[in-house]
Amino acid sequence: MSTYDKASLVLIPSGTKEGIVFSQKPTNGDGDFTFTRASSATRVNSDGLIEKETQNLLLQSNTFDTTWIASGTISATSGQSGYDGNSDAWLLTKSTAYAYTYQNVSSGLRTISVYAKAGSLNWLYILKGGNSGQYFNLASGVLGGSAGASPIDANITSVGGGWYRCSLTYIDGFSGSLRIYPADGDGDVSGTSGSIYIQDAQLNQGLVADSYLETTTTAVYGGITDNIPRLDYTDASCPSLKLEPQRTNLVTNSEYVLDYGQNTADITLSTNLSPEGVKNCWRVEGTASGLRVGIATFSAVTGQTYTGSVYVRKISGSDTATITDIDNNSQTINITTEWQRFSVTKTAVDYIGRVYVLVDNIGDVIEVYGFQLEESSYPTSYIPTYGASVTFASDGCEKTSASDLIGQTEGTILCEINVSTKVLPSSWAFSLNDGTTSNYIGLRRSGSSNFFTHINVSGTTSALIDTGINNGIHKIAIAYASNDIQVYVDGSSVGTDTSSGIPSTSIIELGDLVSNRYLDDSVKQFILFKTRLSNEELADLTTI
Amino acid sequence: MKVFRKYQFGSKSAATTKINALGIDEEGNPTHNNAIVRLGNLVVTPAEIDAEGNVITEAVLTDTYHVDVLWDGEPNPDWDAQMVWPNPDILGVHVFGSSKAIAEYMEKVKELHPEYFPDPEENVDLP
Repeated sequence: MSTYDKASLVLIPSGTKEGIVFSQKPTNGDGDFTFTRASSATRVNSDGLIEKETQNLLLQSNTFDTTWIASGTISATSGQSGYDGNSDAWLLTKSTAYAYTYQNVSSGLRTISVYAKAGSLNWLYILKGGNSGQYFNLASGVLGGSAGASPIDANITSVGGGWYRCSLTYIDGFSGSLRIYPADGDGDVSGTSGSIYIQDAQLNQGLVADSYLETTTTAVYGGITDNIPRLDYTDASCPSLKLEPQRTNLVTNSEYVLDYGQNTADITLSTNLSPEGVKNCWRVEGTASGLRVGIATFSAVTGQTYTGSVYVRKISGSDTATITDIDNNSQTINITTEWQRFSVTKTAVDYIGRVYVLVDNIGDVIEVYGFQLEESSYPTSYIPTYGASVTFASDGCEKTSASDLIGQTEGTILCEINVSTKVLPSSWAFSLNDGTTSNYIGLRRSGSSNFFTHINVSGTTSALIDTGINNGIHKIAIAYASNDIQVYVDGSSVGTDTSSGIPSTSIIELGDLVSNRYLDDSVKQFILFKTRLSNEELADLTTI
Repeated sequence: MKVFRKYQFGSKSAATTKINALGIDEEGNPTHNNAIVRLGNLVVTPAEIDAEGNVITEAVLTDTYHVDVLWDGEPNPDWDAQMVWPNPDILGVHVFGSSKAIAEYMEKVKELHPEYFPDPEENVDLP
């Protein structure tokens, strides 16, 4: 019988669904944790890539005779043979000049995509009203001309059978119509008849067309959306459960670098892959006109600490570059051809916030992605923004009514955490509590201190044992019984207490105590035993 | 259900009084599950900044103090007098990253201010 067989609860984060983190034990679901986060978020996935929320903001994305509005005389006929081998495509036929079908959409950085095939007409025209338009040649598979504001990007990609996925990326400060036209030629929608085939339209945030999501009466969201737990693989082959507090990215366009008023270098959309694994990073080359990419358009609060961060990699030239803090002080960074996230923290003395990256010399080329400025002394997970500052809500993970899983008079807690040095007012890796801050057993730190085992009984500290850790991956075991507390870290005893009482508890919280005392790091495993294990067992369990 | 709303106060202290009234514990931590973001005084005219990143002309800020809240449930009616519905195209400087909450907020804006969402014919046509 292994020690793990004695456990009443085993949570090694690996299985999740919306609102739930599954425990391996008990196997009947009684040990599953409730997970909450009132917003989307990002994580590093098992491929080492940043993963975000995905979405399709269009309604009735493949039902073009519902919700879609006709301008002029235009009809959509279902049941056509589509790019995916099904009969889900539509024939879009116009009977008057300049006819189009459209939906009204909100403002921001957006990419519209639709699968299309030539019919009696060979051209597709997509237009964001009052903004950017792009013609697509469905006979040859090449881009035609654009109209209005220059599109940020446009692509036409063959998917076989004469079908193409056509996409247009634009930024617009105004809501308005998003239009699909059967077109007569490059720059010409004046014909009074003709048709093309279309299927699976999508509007998503950002610079690239995401994988298609079907919608009906409401927008659809996928990826790391509201209440989806984050199994994070940052610098690790095994996942850990990311638990962060509320944070706001003050940069209003974290990925659209051309929006920044302080650019002086030559900046173009790169054809290389970003830390997301898609083509949404920017090539920055130092020229005689300047060396900088960056933003300084928001107000900071004097006396508040801010952290700016950005992903940077070298393409050619110097092995160093410069990042500036919120008050425009420079710091040299060592760059390689691999993506790295750099950050700089400073307490503001000015009310103008800045995040700049500068290449060292004229001719140096770097790539940048994901600008972030947050009110914090360290960077949190990347928060993408597309026209407005964005706040990600805090993560919450708890198991209530857990009295039967917790040893009430004696027990053992094993927790493996992945933490980094940071300053937080009160930060809890976990707590067993009764819904108050009077009775608990937990692992916490305050300020920049080490993590402490903290036992409170009836509002009074009963035991406080320094674990000696504040950074890195560690296994901590806390064995408890009346007047018998023993703490092991990474295979060794770090402290005891022989006078502590044991509180009655019924709630298990990961990354918090009751509310707003967030870990802001990751938990790799959490295991409860209803007996006080032997010191030898504690050593075995915590040996890394 | 989470509900996203925007609020405008006459001063920072007025906002702080309202926020603290929602509940804080002995350590100053909120005792409620509403998410609050202090936007502060909004930028009306951005600062003018030179090539070195130094400020040439200071930014012009609003006299009013702004707060966004993601309510855990229905908005607190005590805050209704400060609730504002800025044109999202012009003053939508901040949102919570909750797709559902943003969708509900935008529907409410459309209901209260349809003039913010003109028909496409009112846009400039560029075919």
